[in-house]
This record gives sequence, C-alpha cells and structure tokens, in this order.
Amino acid sequence: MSARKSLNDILISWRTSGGIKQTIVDIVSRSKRNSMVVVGLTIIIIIVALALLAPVLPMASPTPTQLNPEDKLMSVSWRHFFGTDELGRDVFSRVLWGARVSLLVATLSILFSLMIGVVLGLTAGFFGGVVDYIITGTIDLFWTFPSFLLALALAATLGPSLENVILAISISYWAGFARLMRGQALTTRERQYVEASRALGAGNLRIMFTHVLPNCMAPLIVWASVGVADAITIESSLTFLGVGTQPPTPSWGYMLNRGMPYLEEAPWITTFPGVILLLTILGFNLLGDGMRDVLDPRMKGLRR
Amino acid sequence: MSASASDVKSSQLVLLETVGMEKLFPVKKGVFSRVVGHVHAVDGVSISIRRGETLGLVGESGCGKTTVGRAILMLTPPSDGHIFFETPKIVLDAFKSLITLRNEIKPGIMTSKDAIRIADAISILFGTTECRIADEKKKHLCNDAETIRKLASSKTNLKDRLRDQKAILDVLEDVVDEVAKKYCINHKRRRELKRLRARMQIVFQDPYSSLDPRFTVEKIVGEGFKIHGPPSSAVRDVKFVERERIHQLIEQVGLSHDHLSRLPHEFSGGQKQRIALARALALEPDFIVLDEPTSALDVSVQAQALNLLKRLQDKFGLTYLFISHDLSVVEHMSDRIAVMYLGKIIELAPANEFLSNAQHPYTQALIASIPIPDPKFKKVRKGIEGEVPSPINPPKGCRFHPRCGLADNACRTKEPQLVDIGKGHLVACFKYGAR
Amino acid sequence: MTSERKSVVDIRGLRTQFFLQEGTVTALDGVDLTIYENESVGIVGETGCGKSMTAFSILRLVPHPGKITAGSIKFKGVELTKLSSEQMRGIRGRQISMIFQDPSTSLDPVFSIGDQLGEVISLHQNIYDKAALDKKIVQVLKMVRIAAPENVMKQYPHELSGGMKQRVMIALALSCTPSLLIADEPTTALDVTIQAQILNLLKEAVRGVGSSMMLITHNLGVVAETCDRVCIMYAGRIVEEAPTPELFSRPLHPYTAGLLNAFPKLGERKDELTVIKGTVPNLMKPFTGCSFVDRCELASGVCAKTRPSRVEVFPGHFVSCHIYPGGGEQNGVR
Repeated sequence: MSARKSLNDILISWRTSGGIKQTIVDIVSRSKRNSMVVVGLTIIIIIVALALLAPVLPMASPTPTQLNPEDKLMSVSWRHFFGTDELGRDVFSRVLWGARVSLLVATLSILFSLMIGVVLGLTAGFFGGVVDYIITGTIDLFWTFPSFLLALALAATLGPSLENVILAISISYWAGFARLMRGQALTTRERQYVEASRALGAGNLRIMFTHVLPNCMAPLIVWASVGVADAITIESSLTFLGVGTQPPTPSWGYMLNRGMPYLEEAPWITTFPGVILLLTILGFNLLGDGMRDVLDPRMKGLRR
Repeated sequence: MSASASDVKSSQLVLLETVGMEKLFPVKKGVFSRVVGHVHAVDGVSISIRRGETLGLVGESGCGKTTVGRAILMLTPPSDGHIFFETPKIVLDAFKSLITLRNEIKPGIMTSKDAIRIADAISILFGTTECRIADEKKKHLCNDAETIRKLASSKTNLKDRLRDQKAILDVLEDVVDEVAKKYCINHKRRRELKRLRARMQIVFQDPYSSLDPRFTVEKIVGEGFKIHGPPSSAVRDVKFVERERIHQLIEQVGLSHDHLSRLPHEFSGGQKQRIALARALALEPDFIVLDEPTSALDVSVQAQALNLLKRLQDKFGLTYLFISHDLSVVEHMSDRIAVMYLGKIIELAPANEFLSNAQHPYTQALIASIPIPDPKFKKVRKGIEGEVPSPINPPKGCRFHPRCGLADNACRTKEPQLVDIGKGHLVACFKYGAR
Repeated sequence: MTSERKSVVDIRGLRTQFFLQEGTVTALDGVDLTIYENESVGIVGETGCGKSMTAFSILRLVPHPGKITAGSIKFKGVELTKLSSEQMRGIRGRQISMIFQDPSTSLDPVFSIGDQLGEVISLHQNIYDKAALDKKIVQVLKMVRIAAPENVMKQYPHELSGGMKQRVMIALALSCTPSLLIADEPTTALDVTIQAQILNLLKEAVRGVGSSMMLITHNLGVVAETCDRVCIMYAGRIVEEAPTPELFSRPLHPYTAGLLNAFPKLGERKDELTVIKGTVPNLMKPFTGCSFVDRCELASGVCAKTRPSRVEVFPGHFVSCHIYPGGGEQNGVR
C-alpha cells in the first residue's frame, strides 16, 4: 500500500517538473485511460510473472527424469491444474516453462532485429544517396519474403535449435523495422530543428542519435510490441513443425504438435497451451495497438 | 569574441562579405529524374556587412533571400562564389579586383597591361602584413608576380604568346585558391568550419518547428556546449559553469528559470522564438542571421521580440542579417537595406535614404504596396501588374522588365549591374533617376 | 442614422465554447455584431481572439468539440442557430460564402478550375447546359480580372500562382451573388505586391455584386484600406467598433491604441516599439471583469470585477471599457 502511495507521489512530483519526466507521466496517465493498453498489459504481466516464477513454484518438473506411466493422460485436477500429457508430464508446468522459452525467443529476436533494422534504416534515410539505394535494395530483398517462410527456410538450413530460431526470426524481421525507421528518418531530417543543430556545428552522428532517433520512437514502440506477438507466433509454428526448439525443452508449439493425436481423449494437452498462446499473442497485439493510440495523437494534438 | 558596443559601431571592419555568391538548384524531370536545368535561386550576390550593423534583406517569395541566409551559414552551401568572414579590407579589395580581372581577361586577348595589373594586385595582396597566409606561400606567389611582370615586359606581344597567358592565369587561380582557403567559409575544411559555426548563428522563421519537441529548454539552449565544449575554460565543475551560463541566457531573453525543464510545446510562439534566440546566443556569436524571425508572431508579440533583438544587439555588439518580406519591420530594424528580386540584388541603400530616395521601380512599387494603418492615406494601392515570376526561367535582360512601366529596349536585352549613386546607395537599373 | 439601414447579419450575445477534457474554452464570450447591406466590416485581432470562430459560428461550422452555447445569429431576419443542417447547406455558398487564407487547400488538385467553378455554379444556379455553364464560368473569371479565362478554365490549381488561385476563390465565392462574403485572412499568404491587387479586386468585386463583406485579419493596414467599419476583438469579445477613419484617428480602447502603436510604421524610426505588456489570457479560465485588465495601463478596481458594457461614445463608435461609463464627450486614449 505504501509502495503504491510513494509511486503516486513520485508521479505527481514528476508531473510538474517538465521535460522527460512529464512526458512519462503523460504517457502513463493516457495509458491508464486506454482500455487496450490496460488489458494487454495485464495479460502480459500475468504471463510474464508466471513464467519468471516457474522455477520456484511448487509444481512438478516439466521434464521429469523419471516417468511414471500411470500418470499418463490424467485429466484436470488439483494436483495437475492442466492435466498431464501423453508421457505423464504436468501440462501446467510445461506451459509455464514453455512460456519462458517463447518469451525469451520472441524478445531476443525482436531486440536483435530492432537493432539491425534501426541502425540500417536510420542510416539509409538520413544519408540518402548511394547508401540509401543499397540499403533499400537489401530491405526490399528481405521484405519480399514472408517472414515466416524465411524463418522456416533458415531454421531448416541452420538446423533446429533455440539459438537458430532466434537468428532466423531476427534475420527475417529486421526489414520491417528498417523500412519504418527509414521513412521516419526521411521526414525528420528535413525538420528545422535538425538544421538548427547543424548551424550549431553538430555532426551527422550526433544529429542522428540525439535528434532523429528519439523523434522516431513512437512508431517503433508500437511495431516492437506487435513484433513480439508475431515472433511468438513464428516460434510456435516453427516448433510445431519440428524445426524449432527441440525436446526435451518445453515449447508450446511442440506441445500442440504432440497433443494432436489425443485431441478427443485428452483435449487438455493441446487446449491449454493453445489458449495461453492465444492470450499471449493477444496481449502483445493489444498493447501495441493501444500504444499507437496513446503515443500518436499526443504528438499531433499538442495545444499551441 | 564580441567587442563591447561602443567601439563596435565606430569601426568599419567588414565582418562578412560575399563575392559573387551563387546557388543553383537542379530541376529534375521525367521518370529517371534527369536534370533538365537549374534554378538560379541566388545569382551573383555580393554584399558586405559591417561589424555591429543590421543589414536588412527584403524581397518577395522566390527572390532567394532565405537561400542567401542559409548559404552564408553553409546550411545550403553555395554552388559558387566566396564568402569571406573577418577579412582585412585590403585583402578583400585586392581579391575582388583579382576576381574582376579573372572574369574580364580571357586567354587570347590578354595584353601586357592586363598582366601587369594582375601582378600588381597580387603584390598588394601578399605584400601587406595583414594578410595571414603563410610566409613561404606569400613569398612563392610574390615571386610568381615578378615572373608575370617579366613575361609582360618582354619584347614580343603578350597577345601572341598563348602559353604564357595560360601560365599567368594559372598563377591567378592559385592566388585565388590560397586566399579562399584561408579566409572563405565555403572553402574551409570540416573541422575549421565547425569552429567557425560558433561565431555565426541563425534564428528561423517558424518557432514551432525549429525546436526539437523532445528537448527541454535547458537542453535546447545548452546544445551548443555539448558540441563545442563548455563556455569558458572551466577549471572547476564544468556542469556548474554550463548551468550558470544557460541561466544567464534565459534571463537575457526574458524567460525565467522554471522554464528550463519544460518542453517547447508548452510555450507560445513568442516565447519559442526567445528560446531560439537564447540558443543562438549561447556560443557568443558575432553574427546572427534572422530569417523572418517575427513573421509568424502576432503584432504585439512581434514588437516585444524586435525590441529584445535591438537591446541584445546593443549589449553584445551583434551583427544582424535581417531577412523579411515585411518592409516596415525591416526598415525599423536595419541600418542598410538590400532588395532582392529573382536571385539578384537590385538595390542597396542606407535605411534613411531608402524610403525617401528609392530608385529602382521594383523598390518603389514595394514601398507603395505596403498597407498603411492610416486611412488618411487614401491612395489606391496599385500593386504591380503581373505575377511574381518563377526563378526557373528568368526573363532576359533586366529581370524586372516584364512588370516595369519604364522598360525599354535596353532593359529587355541587357542586364543592369549595380551602380554606386553616392551616399552608399547602389542600384541596378538603367532608368534610375527617372522618377 | 444606423436604424434605417437593413442588416444582413445581426449577432447578439454569441457565445461559442469548446468542451475539452481539460476544461472548457470559451472562444467567443458574448459577441454583438451587425453587418449592414453594402458595407465591408473588418474584424481585427490577434491569434486566438476568436475572429475566425465568429465566422465559423455564423456558418454553423464550429468544429467538434465546440458548440454555440448562447446568443442569436440573424441572417436577413432568419435565425440561423435554429435552422436544420439541410437548410444551412442551402445558405452556405449561396447566400453566405467564405474564402480562406490558403487557396491551395481550398481547391481540389485533381480537378481543373473550370470543373470546380462549374460544379459550384451549376449546383447553386441550376445551369446544366454545358455551353451556358462555360459562358458563365468565363464571365465569372473575367469579373476577377483573370486574363485569358478560356485557358485558365482548363488549367489545374498547381499551375496557378497564389494570387491567381485566390482570384479563383473569390470568383467561386461571388459566383452565386451571396449577400455576405466572409474573407478569412485572404491575403496573408500572398506577397505584398499581389496583396494590393487582390484587396482592390475584392473591394470592387464585392461592391459590384452588391454583397457585404466581413474581412477577418490581423493587419490594421489592410483594414484601413478596405473596410468601412472596423471591429477590434480581444479574447473572444469585441472591445471596440467604429467607422474606419474614426477608429484610427480616435481609438478609444487601450488595446486598440496599443495595437496601433505596436506596428512599426514606415518612415517612423523609433528606437523601441511600444509594447503591450503581458500575454493573451487563458480562455479556459473564466474571468469576471474586463478581459484586458491584466495588460491595461489604465486598469482600475472596477475593471477586475465587472465586465464593461458596450457603450456608444460617438455616433457609430462603440467601445467596451470602464473608462467610458455611459456615452458623453470623451477624448479617447492615445
């Protein structure tokens, strides 16, 4: 209770201090009013929390060394919240541990792809000319491939493993970020405050990272959120097809795949991972869409 | 740095001078964006600005005045010409005569007299102690001048010796390059240019877009220090010195300390311009280009801003280039006024001469077009016939002739040059004095 | 002397407010204005004073979340605030038309000038025969002194200069002989030499068609040349209203005097321009007294408490200021 109070106090004091702190407070208060952000963020926080707590929760191990054949295909109960799968493993535990994998893969992939995309996109948009030509060509090349197919091809070529999934998604996804940042850079570099900075003597690097990049953040945040959702989908699909993370590492896609033959007699093996997967993707999509509303009109509707 | 006000106005040192400045923009057409022509946005502009004065630059849209301001600051670097900064007058005059010689004397028609004129100009240029070019270079080029004289005085007519003529012109080019490298802003290397930038600043027209919406006022004003280093050689806490200086600047432009942590969108247009002004002043510049600084402001706010500009100029001995389309404002602020039309300067006069004795028909029309807030002046404002032409295809001869009531054949075929008609008043018109 | 003239627009107590999340902005706070037949009235004020909003209120084009919350707007006797949107549409463009500051945004770039003019004329005047329509278009273009109207008809907006486009807008606006033409900063975006042409044209064209004009601007010089009467607006209220020569020679309201002094005048090389101290008030905060009280040199106790009422100090010269409690001989402020 007191933690919440002091958090509120901090926010209130920030509200009047202007500058970046004021910006954050504005965003927070707008987000609070936006139902999509609230719902999305709630879902994400719950799932992330559970995923992080998985190692310390009192539940069965997702990858037991000793398999008891009697535990096979047990239905939902207090001991096994989500039942057990065809090998007798606790589905609930596997779902939580699978969340760790999916979230890790998704966030890392998007992070890498963001870094590559932002740097290349900014450079292309900012400098123009030959540099732009080359980078845009590369972007177009990667852009023409649907990210999933590209990831599939890469994963199949490189061999199925967690690291390769991250690599595959990063490579197939960076083009989107690059294209986005290039467009943002093209408009921002013409702004007068960039010219003013030049008049002060600023060099290209400084302008790119202190003026252009921060002003392009809004769409980036939106894209990143939606990208994570996308990445989770891709990862699950890859694992479902067998080219992703390999057993015994638990993964939702794998669980879906494995549970298919048992759909009638033991639907919980596929249903629970499926639903959680759905919720996670929904959560990130909602967050992304909501943030788009929170951030964008704020930029345009500033009172003069 | 900046001198104090009293000794600034009296000295006649040329702070900034452009010689034949040109800026061309390519015109692209077609699917492949082929360059089909050029817009001569600035076409041979030569102006000089004395330390401590305000030079007003007026004209309508498309005349190139904004481009001039940007070109001087190398934001849109000129395509041709030279921009001199803090150059001794003697060097400038010698340079200008060399340029004139270069334009006039072509190989094949050079006479001995011409060659001697070149040699003399070079000697003057490098003979003076004020010229800061390295001594060995000076000596080398003075020797070249001697060689020229020898070539000129030999028995055979210089006109027939093409190779010698070419050699002389090569020397001329070398001299021009040397001087340019030393004194011209647009021939400097990046690092030197960066240092120079601290001494020339700009305030833009649109206060809403010239401030980064993500930077606090403190960051905006202090950005110069991040680029060039702290204000003075700070022995103690650098951050402290910077903050002090920023506080000082904010006060000088009439804002208060609690504005420092706010974002631009929380301020009105007039306040934003003050912030932009504080930013420009941070690096203690000698010269500020004011590009329509008050055009976007309301009348009463404009008055405050103009008063502030004048006060700061007196206090810090600043030199202004005041660009505007509003003649009343320019006339209020400037010591001298230049009028531009389609990329050229067509008239330049001291402010008090300007109104009473404007010579160019365009200037006269401009003055007559201004709405006077006094209905007693019930004149019928005629305006000028025709539209403001586009700079892509300027008319032949005098550029104003299609809209000029006094135009005759000479005006249609030849382009008038700027002529000095006394009292520092220059005009480019064959028909001046005709009113 | 004013009672015999017929009024085209009669506004009484107009109040337009914007209901935002952060509060309510009172853009217009009790505006009284009458425009008579065959006259040009200038509305002068600075940014945010409400002059454009007055025009939008007349045309019932107040953008969301704004609303007209009080007052009446009578157009030739008809109460506009009570009309349906269909009836208003019949009035807009035909009986009251408006031209804006930037002609580029008012003209559709993908249609030729002839098409756009034709559309308006045919709709409002029911001329559908192509030959007759073309003839009318040429006639209208000639009225705004466009040379070679047959060629211009076929051109597209981007091929015309700013001045030409504004002439087309004037032609568009006057083509249906409206009773009132509202011009919102019509020459602010144009070069000074073209400004003069356009303002002359506007004056003559409006007189030629027999309309009245409401000219909105921040430039006192423009108003001095073009208008018969001037209203000065400040913070959503009209503070002074007078025939043009009267206003300039004898400004009564301190704000008017301040405005006149703040203009750098050609030939008068003062060192410092007289400045009106302070800034425009925040329209979200309701204030009881005179809206100018914080910036007025002559403010006294009563100015902060009660709102000054509109008083006719000289014939046709109205002012809202406590210095003039109720008519009688005053000397004005300078």
